[in-house]
Amino acid sequence: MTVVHVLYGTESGNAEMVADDIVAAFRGQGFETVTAELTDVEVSDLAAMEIAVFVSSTYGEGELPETAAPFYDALMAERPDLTGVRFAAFGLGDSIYETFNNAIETLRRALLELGAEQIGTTAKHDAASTTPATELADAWTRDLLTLMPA
Amino acid sequence: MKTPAETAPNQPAAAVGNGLPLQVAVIGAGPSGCYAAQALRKGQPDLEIAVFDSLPTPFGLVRYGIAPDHQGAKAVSRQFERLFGQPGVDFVGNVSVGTDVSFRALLDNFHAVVLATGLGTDRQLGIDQDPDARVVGAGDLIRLLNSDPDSRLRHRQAGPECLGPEVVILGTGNVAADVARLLAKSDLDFIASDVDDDALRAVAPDPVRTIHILGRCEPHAAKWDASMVKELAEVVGVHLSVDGVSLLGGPAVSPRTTVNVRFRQVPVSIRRHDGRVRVTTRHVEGTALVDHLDADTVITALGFDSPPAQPAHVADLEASNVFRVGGPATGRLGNLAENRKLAASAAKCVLEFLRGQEPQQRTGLFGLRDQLPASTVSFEAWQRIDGAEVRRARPDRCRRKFTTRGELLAAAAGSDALASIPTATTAAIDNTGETE
Repeated sequence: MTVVHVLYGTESGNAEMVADDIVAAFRGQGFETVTAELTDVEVSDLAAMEIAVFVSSTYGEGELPETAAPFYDALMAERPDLTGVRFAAFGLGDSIYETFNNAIETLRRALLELGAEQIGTTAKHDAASTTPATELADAWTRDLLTLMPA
Repeated sequence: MKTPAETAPNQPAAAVGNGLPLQVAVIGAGPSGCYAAQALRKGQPDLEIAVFDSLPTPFGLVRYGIAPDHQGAKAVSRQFERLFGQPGVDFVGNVSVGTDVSFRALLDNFHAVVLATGLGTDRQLGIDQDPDARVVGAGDLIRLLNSDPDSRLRHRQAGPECLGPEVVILGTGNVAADVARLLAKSDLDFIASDVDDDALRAVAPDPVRTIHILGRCEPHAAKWDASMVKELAEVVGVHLSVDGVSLLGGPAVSPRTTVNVRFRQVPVSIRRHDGRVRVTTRHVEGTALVDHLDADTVITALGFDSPPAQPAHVADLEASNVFRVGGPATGRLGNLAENRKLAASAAKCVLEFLRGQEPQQRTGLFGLRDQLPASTVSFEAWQRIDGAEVRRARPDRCRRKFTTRGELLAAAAGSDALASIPTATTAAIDNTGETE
């Protein structure tokens, strides 16, 4: 069974909730899922992942959340070859700030640069919108599933 | 990295010998209490948790402390709604621990008690201050604009008082920026917010004309986030300058509101002067340079202290199964992320403690059923309040909150009749001066 790793970086816990939503949407679709906060993920683990779903909020002036920054720093320092790794990206932000959803873009660009291949489009939830993150996570994951036969 | 087995729900290692679940009480349904409950359940999914709050509504500072025009930040409550949606997690609202239910009763019925009672009151300035000078706490003001039924500004006999066209804000943290922004915004700027329009109109019938923000520190040491200052400067009609230098280009032709930030200003005294307020400051580096600033109201945004009303037997309690999160642990307000982290580490301590205990049967909330007042608000009852507030909102607002405990309890009961609702926490109501 294909294993999907749902990896999140969060400040206030909303990205963790979205990670839970994504896992829920994967349930019963023929995948095994593993959820982990990015603080618990080693860069060396990444190359072995078949599919990694990154979920990240944006913090402060467009920075990565505290629980994702060390992972990103290690990624940039070690620069592993990620050819063959497929990933999807879900960001959370608030459009009242100019740096809206900057963190997921930072992660996404790094992964692409290292050879990973993105599946589907990058979701960018806007906390200032009326759509709950859960709703977007659900719809986005369903779209994603059509692109990745189990 | 954890293996799938490690992230799977924990084994019920800490269930008591007879298979009954472990019981934890959390006092305070604000963000710290909710984060603690969330982390406890993630660590031990079969744990049963009752989260008590003296207000009829959950989420504490998320509902009453985060500015009403920052609905994105308030969306964190969705996490907590999910938490309370789980079987084994209860919201016990409108119950004041120490008044309605004794702290002893909680210790008898739960294996562990987590204090998450928050920080209630604006920190005082501690300088020579005329008691008659109009000085308002930023926390009180934001609570008022968030419809907090206990906001002290609401309970003046004549209703909330107009702040006047010129205010001084003391402090350069995010709360100061919140206040300045809320007072500088026009009605249109509050679209999709849940600001208390009646209260806002009472304190600021029009956007405040001049706002002085004074900080003791150097500009680079200001505690606010740059994005908050930028957001303030970007409010249409606002002209913001820092130490005389315009932010975002030159001054507008005729700004509706001017915001002047001045650093290195140490407040020395606040006195009444010609029916207004005179703030005397000195420059941080010398005693000779003394400045006077006259305004209609001074707003203090200097942090928060523990509420003095907190019963001493709760505040001073040291039992091995009592834990503290948020304000009661740190003495600081902190932001959501910080308190989430602290709550997670406190939850880890609670779980470690529980695992190390001899199994003892505790009945949790069930054991308190005869002691809880009739007007206890369950999560389901809160959802009725929630629904009613959303339904009665102005078309350009996301919610219109009820502003008294009576209204909240009526909505909780699913009724519009206010009179029939028994009020359990008479003491709390008396404190606020509410007389209905």
